[in-house]
Amino acid sequence: MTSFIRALSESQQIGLMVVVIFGGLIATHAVLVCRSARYQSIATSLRTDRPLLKRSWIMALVFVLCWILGSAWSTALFLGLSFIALREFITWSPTHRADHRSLILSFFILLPLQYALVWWGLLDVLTVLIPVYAFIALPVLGASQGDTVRFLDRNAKLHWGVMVCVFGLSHVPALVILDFEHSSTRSLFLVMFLVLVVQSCMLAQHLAAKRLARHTLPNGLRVFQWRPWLVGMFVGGLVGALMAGMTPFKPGEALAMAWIACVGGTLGHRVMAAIKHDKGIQRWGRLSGTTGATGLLDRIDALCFAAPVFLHALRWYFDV
Amino acid sequence: MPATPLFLFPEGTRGNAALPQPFKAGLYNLAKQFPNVVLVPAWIDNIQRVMPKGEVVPVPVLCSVTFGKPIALTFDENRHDFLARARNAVIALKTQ
Repeated sequence: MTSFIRALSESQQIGLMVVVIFGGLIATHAVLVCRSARYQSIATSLRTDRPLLKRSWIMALVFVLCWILGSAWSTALFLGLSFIALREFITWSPTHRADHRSLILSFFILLPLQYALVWWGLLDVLTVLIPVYAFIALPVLGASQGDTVRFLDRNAKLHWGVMVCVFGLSHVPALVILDFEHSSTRSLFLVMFLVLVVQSCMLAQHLAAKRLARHTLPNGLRVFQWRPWLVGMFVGGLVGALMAGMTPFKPGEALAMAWIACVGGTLGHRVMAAIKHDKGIQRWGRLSGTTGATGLLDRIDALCFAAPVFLHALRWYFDV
Repeated sequence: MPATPLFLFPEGTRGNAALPQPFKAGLYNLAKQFPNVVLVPAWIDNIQRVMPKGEVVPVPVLCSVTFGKPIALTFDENRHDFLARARNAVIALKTQ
């Protein structure tokens, strides 16, 4: 399998990815529709799964299109995703009037600058811009406004939002910067590898958790469930291992890297669920669709956490 | 003639407190002069964070509008009571 994929040319591999992704989606959709005609239980579950299915289609279409068009489009796509995710996060993190300048700095300076650094390929700068410089700049700007009520609370939430939605997510297109000696043009496949592995892991975990019995803690937060998590890890690892031929990895390395990304992603998702639970909301964004922000962060929060972990694991292990 | 919705901001200005300032008399005068007009209270959530008074650049946080049940001026209600009732009807729509 690995050697077969490796023998294909780059455009053949891109074609293969498109066929596999959309073939998989069409097959899932077709099977569900056909079986829903026969079984009432599946018809009911199809109705509840329909938004999930529709979202999967949209996300796959947009992502694959941008991926095929090249790294500039992929970077632009993730810039847009960061923007929407940060909006959703900040909307639920109450800020004061005095934080207005800090918010402007986050949305209109840090966010574009971070993605400009991705585009310029300055990996060493983009990994420190937000954890080091924004970490100082945001509270300094806040302190200069004179409002000290819940100061740490407000600034910590703002910096945390920027870390997750901008810093974390920007590491996905930043994978393109990594220059592997033996396959320098392969880096875009790493983006596909990471997104596909993490999203299929999350999808598998989500579906498995729905099928298996739910337990909730007394305070309502769902208990960590080992079985759905293991199902997710299995599916994510499988997808990673199958994709080894398109990446600079050997199959064993691909499996290990996929698991590193999945651990980061699933646990990050868990952290975001705890935050949502604390705020008493089911999902980020508003329920109405008019603003275009209807819980995108819920779909991509795993990527926000997985991407930096994945990128740095690659840098250490492969020394790139 | 088709009905046209008209949005009134009875505060008359933008404030920077959590709750709206006392409503101005214009709302009462309109309600008195046009008793057949339906007055629907509405709360715009997060709008203060988008662009506080005195700032130039808006921040793209998400807003939402909540509409309440219509209120009407009763015949024995004075200006002060009606404006307070209208303000409370708006505040009651505040989320959380």
